[in-house]
Amino acid sequence: MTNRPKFRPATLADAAALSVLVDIAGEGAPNRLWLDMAGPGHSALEVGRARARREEGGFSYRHATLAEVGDEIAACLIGYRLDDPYDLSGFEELPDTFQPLVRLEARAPGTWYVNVLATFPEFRGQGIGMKLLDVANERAREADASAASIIVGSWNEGAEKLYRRAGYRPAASEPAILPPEFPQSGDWLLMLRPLS
Amino acid sequence: MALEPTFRPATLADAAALAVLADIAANGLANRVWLDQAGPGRSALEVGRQSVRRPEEVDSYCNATIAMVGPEVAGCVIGGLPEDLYDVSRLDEKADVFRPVARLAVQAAGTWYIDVIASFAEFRGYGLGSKLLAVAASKAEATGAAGNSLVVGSWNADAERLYRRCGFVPVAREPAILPDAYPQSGDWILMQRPPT
Repeated sequence: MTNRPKFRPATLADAAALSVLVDIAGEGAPNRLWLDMAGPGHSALEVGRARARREEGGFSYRHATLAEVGDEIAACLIGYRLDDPYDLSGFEELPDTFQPLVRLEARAPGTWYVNVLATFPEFRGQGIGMKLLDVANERAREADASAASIIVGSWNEGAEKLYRRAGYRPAASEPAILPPEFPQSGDWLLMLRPLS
Repeated sequence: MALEPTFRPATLADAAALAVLADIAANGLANRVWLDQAGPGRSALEVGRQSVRRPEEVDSYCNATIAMVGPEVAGCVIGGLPEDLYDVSRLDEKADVFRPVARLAVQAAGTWYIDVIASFAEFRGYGLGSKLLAVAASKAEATGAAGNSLVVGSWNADAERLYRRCGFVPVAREPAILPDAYPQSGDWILMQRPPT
């Protein structure tokens, strides 16, 4: 590794990079959601950037920590403490694909939930993901969370292995509901990591 | 209120913002092309960002000038000589939706062709578009090009009006082939203006 990453909170100016990282972590599912929100003939990427600029919500820049290498954004961590008790009202109105994920979140109330962990291709294989998972544990301690939590697709073996190496262990699973043309299939796994 | 933007060449670090701006300028058509290239279950935004980072692409950061307002990217203009941007013998390899645009662009050989001109929502309505057009004029002058050219959709009446106000006149058109779901329809119009 040539260049040590530096970590900093995200700002509004980082919204475009965050929207790309969110879509990478979500394997293209966020873009589908933004396409629906934008409607035909409008830019879904503009919607994604606007979502990252919001002060609230799962993809808000306010919940994001960036890893920078040199003058470039290399990776991001977006996470926050899940409510305890976890409120499942309005659950039925969620798109099908998100329901299993929310059901798993509801199994980890009070944990610090890693919603997005993603690295741009040029910066993969340098251990930045592992470092960001350690940042997640620091944030979790600061937020008085009971543990750190993350959800991974069972088809995403590389990521699951990384999370195990970081100390995460499977705690629950739900069958994944993915768009029919997606090649991926399997379960969503909720994994937890103790804070000490 | 007037904005006081500053202009600078784009760098690799701007790739995510440029991908969003390219998609905004193209009414979401860029995302459609990147979705096809990515395939289901993969991130089209990652593909778009990678595309912008390649020097040989039309929308490359190498061809881009960024408008900054404070610490934020507000907009951009991307372009160059059509004969440098496009390989005339390989226009058939362009995605269907962009082929008519490329065919028009190469008719404007010798001009400094504006492939993307766009600003983010927060910075619209402050005259940034005409300032970016002035940047394009100075690019034409600096490269010895015979003025500027661009392609606009006939459904994009506001943009066309701005271009007319800034000295552009229509010189050719091609029927637009847009995705079925699109509410827009009409022609792509090639516009040119002499050196200013």
